[in-house]
Amino acid sequence: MKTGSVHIHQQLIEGCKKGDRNAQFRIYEMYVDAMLNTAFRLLKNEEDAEDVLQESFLKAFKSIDQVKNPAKFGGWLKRIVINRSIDLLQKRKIKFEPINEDRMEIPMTDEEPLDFELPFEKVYNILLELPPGYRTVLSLYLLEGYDHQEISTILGISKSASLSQFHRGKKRLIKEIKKQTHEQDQAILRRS
Amino acid sequence: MNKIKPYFDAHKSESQPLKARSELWSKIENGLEEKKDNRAVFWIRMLASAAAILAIGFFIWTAQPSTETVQMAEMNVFPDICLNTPEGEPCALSTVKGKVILVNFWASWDEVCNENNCYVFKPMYEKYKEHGFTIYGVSIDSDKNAWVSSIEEDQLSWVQVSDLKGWDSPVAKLLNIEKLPTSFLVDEELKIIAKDLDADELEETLSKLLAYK
Repeated sequence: MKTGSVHIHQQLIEGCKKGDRNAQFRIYEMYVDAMLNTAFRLLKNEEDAEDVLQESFLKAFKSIDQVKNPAKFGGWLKRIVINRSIDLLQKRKIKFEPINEDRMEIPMTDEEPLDFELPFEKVYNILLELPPGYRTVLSLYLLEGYDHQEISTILGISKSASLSQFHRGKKRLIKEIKKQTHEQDQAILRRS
Repeated sequence: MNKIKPYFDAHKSESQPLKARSELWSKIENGLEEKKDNRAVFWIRMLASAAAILAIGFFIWTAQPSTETVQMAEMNVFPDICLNTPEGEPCALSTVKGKVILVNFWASWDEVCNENNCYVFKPMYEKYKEHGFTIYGVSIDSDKNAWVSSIEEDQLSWVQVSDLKGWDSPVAKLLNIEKLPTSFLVDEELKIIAKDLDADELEETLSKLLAYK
């Protein structure tokens, strides 16, 4: 952000602290789409995501006095959105501990290069279609940029559980990507 | 460690397909209005109870020795307070086992406190309890049922105490607690390490003090 926009952002946060509705709206506008996507990736349901957002913004505006450093507001808000989303998932009895799944058929090492020609949109959709336990850890790590230490705190699991859940999820993701790449190739062959 | 992270880093900006519907803001705005109304009701209630407390206080005032409030700036050892658990057992802070103890003042009727209990303290407690961290939750509730059901509902498994005197609690007065939540981080000798840390600061402090790997 440029100095000017930092200044405006800071002023808006100060406005929110005073309960200024206009400042609240501008802050809302600034963050709402990004937050909606964050919640959606975890919940995979647009209505739930909007409900979570409604609660989160209300909570954020109500306790905005806790924000000591306005520059940290975005991260703070995102944590509220993620906490609420995880809460909703947990209410639905989604487990974040690694699932004891049988061996994956495709042996895979980390060094294996990722060579697929699938548009990102498809890869993104594959991620969203994964079982919730995998989807959550993968999207927190790959899309929201949290490390495993942070993810373990967010999900209330150990760091090693977060790591192993991530690795299993990643294998599953790559397996699905390969499957779809294969299907895509077949379709191209059929057409030609 | 893996090649998938750089791949996502390069592409993740493409993945913002959803746009919020305009109704969402009006819902939030309505919620904010409600909060304002609640606040008005809250103040009226506060005034009413303050008046009642003043009236009662006036009668028993002469019998009460004046309690000195501890000056936080000068205080470096936390007083060894002792209040009752929900089971009615007195539990002194000094008997709580832990290398680092968070003394947290809260109340079941305060949403921010509940939020902190669930999303800040609970995960920290789970993460660091094996490493010598524990919490001593002091509630400013006056209604025992509300207090106990909040503990049960949020599944708070650390020590919980209260004298159930609300804001009249001598402990809250002694420590000059003016807002909730208020928290103190103390070591096993009850020396004060810090006050009112936010989530990030608490995590940082605990990982430093308890050498968590």
